[in-house]
Amino acid sequence: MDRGFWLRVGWRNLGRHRRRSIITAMALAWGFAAVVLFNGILEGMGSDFIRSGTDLMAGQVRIQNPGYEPERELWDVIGGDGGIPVSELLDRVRSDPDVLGAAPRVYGAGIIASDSTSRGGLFMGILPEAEAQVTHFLEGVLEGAPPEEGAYQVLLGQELARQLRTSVGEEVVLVAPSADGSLGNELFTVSGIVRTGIPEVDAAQVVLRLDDLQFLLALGTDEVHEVAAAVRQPWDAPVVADRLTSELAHLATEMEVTAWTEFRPELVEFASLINGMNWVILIVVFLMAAFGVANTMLMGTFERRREFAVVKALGMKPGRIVAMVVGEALVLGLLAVAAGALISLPLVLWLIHYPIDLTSIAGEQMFMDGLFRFVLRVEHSWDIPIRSAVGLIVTAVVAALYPALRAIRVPAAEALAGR
Amino acid sequence: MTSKRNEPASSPAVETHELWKTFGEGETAVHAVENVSVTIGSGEFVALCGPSGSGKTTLVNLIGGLTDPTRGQVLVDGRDVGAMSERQRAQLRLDRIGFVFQAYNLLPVLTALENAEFPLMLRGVHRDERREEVSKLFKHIGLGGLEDRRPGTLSGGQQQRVAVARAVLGAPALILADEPTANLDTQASDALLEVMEILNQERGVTFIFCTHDPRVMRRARRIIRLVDGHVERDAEKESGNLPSWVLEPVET
Repeated sequence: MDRGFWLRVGWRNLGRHRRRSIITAMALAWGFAAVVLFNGILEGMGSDFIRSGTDLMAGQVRIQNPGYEPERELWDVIGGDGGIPVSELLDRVRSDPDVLGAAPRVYGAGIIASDSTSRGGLFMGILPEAEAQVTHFLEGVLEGAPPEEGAYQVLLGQELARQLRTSVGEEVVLVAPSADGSLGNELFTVSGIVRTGIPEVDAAQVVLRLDDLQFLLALGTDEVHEVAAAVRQPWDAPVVADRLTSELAHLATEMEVTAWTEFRPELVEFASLINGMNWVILIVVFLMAAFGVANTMLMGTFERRREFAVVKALGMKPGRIVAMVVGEALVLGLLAVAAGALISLPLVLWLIHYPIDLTSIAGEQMFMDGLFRFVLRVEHSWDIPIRSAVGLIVTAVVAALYPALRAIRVPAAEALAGR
Repeated sequence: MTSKRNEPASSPAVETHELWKTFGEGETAVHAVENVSVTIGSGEFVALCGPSGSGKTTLVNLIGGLTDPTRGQVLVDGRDVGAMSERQRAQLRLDRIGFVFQAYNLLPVLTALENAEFPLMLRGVHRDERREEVSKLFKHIGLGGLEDRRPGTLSGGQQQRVAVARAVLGAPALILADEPTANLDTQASDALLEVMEILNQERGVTFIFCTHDPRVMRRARRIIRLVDGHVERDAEKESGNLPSWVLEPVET
């Protein structure tokens, strides 16, 4: 059977009522463009939410002692005696092709006292140069700089510094229970003030050099609580985590590699919500499109009753009549996809390459432990246009089924007699 | 009423047994075809005549399986059309029956060539083969060079010849023609009838015409006259002359 012939027939039949066909195709095309654009923007927002929830402080993959969470005991470290040196662990993690950077961390809690008062503090030991490859919170340094090596310096959260009534260059004392059961204390100089935008963090965060906190907590220089890693695509994190698990499995030290999808499940739920919204938009728009196609095809079927009677008289089987009508809808759908792509492509490309920053209007918002900036951008993804195109074509074809069934039920003798 | 001529000239191409077609119900019921039993042999050239509303077109539609009988039976090549599914009827029409309509009924979006080759395409005949057959026939019936023209750009005679080409290509055993010459001038009618006669004589195709046209009836070798849905006369005809009863007014 000549399939090209039926597509040609579909094309010509659409051409018989050019204005009606163009109006229907354009309605479908705008629907397609709207779905592609809104889905792209929602995907972009979802992706930004995920990044804001992982990039600020957490990272997208973390490696810890399996017993560290949820109690976060000081002695549940990775590395150290009998374990892999932290530098080697970092090298192995960084060698993964999808890993952008890896940073070691030590955590503790204690009291920080200034000349005038004291507060509880959450201590975080980092290597600033490594941390910058994994998270963005050091970009929020308002005054001074991150702590320097060998200088016994700390970076304080903005609110904590305010409450301690201290500032850059002044001295503070850190007191913390150590891993060996003793009470560690040390004098530090405030090297800078940082603002993350997360009130809880800004009111308690004390950032030290990794080795300074290890010393304060009586940990060895190869003992860390966590290695955090950033990956190229956040949604690839589970795959990277699985790969690193295999890669590190043979090492003497037992380690647990988890992706953000496990330690930030609320972000996954949010992503599912975004995905659900995308589907709702898709269904609503294409449901409207289905009525448009059904109307056009139904009118065409009524107008061509005699022609359907003729093809029946010539021996065309019911299935083929259905295929003929559906073929017409298929051509209409393909035209609409082409026109929709022409409409949406420039807008999508513009918003991919030139996102519109709405922070000046909407401000920065705290969302799921992340600081979210409203930036109107489209996430580059082939899934969305492909899914929308397939959706539109399937919609057109399904919407044509009822008119097609009407066509095969045309009473041939009556229709030929003009009744 | 049954036919006065029940013996077939050869093996039957069409048989109807006590065939009825009634439109409407109760007091408003109209019997378009009323107790018609005829047998038409293979290779016959039959004209169905009678006044308008006598049931000619309905009878042809019943034979072609385009409408269901209210009662009775239609056999084409010995197969009961009424017992067939829609799909089986379509297959029967595709394989065995060609239709020629009064109003040509060409598909306006197709070219003359595409219209003519349409049934062959439905049968799955290869493109080159069907194009060759169409071209050959088009030349024979004076449509050479008009292959790519749409029906709207052809004269009535040309359109009807395309419709005949569509009906005869693939050599169906039976051609049902409903007033094929009604919209044609004398010259076009004669040309068309010649083609049909040739097909009948050379290929043994059975023709059943519904017609008011004396030119068609003169060429027919058997005339069945329908009045008010039943067969009033059914007779074979030897010469080119028309029997006087063919054109007699209906008695009221």
